[in-house]
Amino acid sequence: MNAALPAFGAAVRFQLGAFRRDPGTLLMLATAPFSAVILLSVTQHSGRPDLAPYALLAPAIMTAMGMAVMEAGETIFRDRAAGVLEALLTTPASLAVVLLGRISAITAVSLVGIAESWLVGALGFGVVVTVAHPLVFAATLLATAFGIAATGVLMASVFVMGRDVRSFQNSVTFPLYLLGGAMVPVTLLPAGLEALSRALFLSWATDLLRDSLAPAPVDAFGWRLAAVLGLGAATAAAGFGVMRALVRRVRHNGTVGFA
Amino acid sequence: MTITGIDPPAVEVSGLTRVFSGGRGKADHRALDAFDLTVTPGEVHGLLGPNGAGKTTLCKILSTVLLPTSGTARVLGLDVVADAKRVRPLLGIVFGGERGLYARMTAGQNLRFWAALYGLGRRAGRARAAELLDRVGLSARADNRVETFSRGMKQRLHLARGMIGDPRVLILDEPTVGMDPVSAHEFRELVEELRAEGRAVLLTTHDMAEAEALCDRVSFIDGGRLLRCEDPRVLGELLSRHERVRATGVPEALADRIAELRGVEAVRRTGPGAILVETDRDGAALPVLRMLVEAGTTDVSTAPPTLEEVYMHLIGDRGMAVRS
Repeated sequence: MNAALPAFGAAVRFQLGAFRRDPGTLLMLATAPFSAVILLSVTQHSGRPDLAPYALLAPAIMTAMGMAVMEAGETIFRDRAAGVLEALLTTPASLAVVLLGRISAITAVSLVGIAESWLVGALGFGVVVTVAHPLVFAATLLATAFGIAATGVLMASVFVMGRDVRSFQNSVTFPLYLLGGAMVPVTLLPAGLEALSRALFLSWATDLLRDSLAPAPVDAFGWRLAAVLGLGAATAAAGFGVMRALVRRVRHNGTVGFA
Repeated sequence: MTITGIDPPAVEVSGLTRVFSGGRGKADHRALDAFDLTVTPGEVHGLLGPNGAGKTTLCKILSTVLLPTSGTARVLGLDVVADAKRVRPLLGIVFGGERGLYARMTAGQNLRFWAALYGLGRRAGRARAAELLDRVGLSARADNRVETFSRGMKQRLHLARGMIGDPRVLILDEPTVGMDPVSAHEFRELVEELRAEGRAVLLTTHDMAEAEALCDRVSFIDGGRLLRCEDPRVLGELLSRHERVRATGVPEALADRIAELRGVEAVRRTGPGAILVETDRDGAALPVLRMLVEAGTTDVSTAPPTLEEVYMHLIGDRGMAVRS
């Protein structure tokens, strides 16, 4: 009996239901338009309308990544506090699969942030950013969503270990935004940081997404998409591996139920 | 479903020890100490012990949530450490208390979610959830959020969750805590059904009457060690043999006369004119009651001994010898 597929589907449905039961989990979607306003105000009033696509993409990506990381931590925190984490570990389903399902649903919903940003540009600033290469954009967005969900699983595995997840959540998101090129292209970062950022799927993804918006042909799309997918898969593998190791550790320590 | 022809014991625990680290500068805590236990298929086995005795630690190890420090634990022949993945589909666990359910989901949503974690597809999960809700008497509340349930209703839903994977071994960690008498009675009938289906049930409880009514055998645990493993009829003997009588308004001279009655183990003064009479043989309470009533004492009551008192008798009678 393989529980992976039913568990993944149930976890997706669970999370979609959780949004209805607890809309507070969608709060970051409410803040995304404000971030878009700030960034667009800077680019428009500093005479750099050419940077508008950057200003619209940044809050959308930050929202998606932020929701995945924050909700990954909250999921572990809440399940542990409710005594559900222990029960989850007694089932045939892998905890990592359940979390991947839940975070995939979160990531899918978080992509609404893109529409919000675009609407802010159009309605607030009269800036309409067209997607010059829609297929490249769509394919990259899907690969990016996979990588973000994988990052959520990796983060959740760390949260299994500790009780003070919130300070870690807050600390880890900003470096992810920076090294992932969500705020500024990584080519503009100091050389050492740029090299480091290339180990993250997100840096390849944000570059591709920005290129897909510009009319110029997208260079080496296949290789770059492969980098996004490959690094996303590596992140997922790391997430599953670390989850397995840390779950074993809390079973050893007897701290599964500690809240 | 009747399960027959299973060779290995449902649960087989040998020399099981679990030590929790006390942290810097603090002593370690030995929750289980070379614990042995065997539960046969189709058996309802009671695990009796006070708080902190090691019951929940054993349940957690058997359900693969906790790793033992040493010793072995097997479920239907499979090691709970080395074969944890194969053990999980065979086992259902109901943790004590109210933890372990999603409070903001309905009863039906909870069960369907847990069904999927046991590999059931949507249709099968829906059918299984409906069947179990009916079985635990919660069909009418299937669409209500768990947070609106009474404690007893949550316990019943816990039971349904524990059975969602159709387990051959069910671990119930104090399942009747918070249940009203009617629900507790229905729960006992449910356990009887599980036994009739050939499932093994390991039931931890503080309630000796419950253990006596339900269990094929009972094990006493304290300090992480097995004190005794007995037929529950022995419990009944202990309960009647060690019956206690409480009375107030008892003159000193009358208390002294009661102390000399045959079968009276001790007469304790619990307050001005108040006594607690402990007996150590079947029927010994009757002459005590008669003497009190004839002396005009009207505030008299009898009660079975507490679990702790039975332990004291057990340890006093047999020492710490382990039986299995």
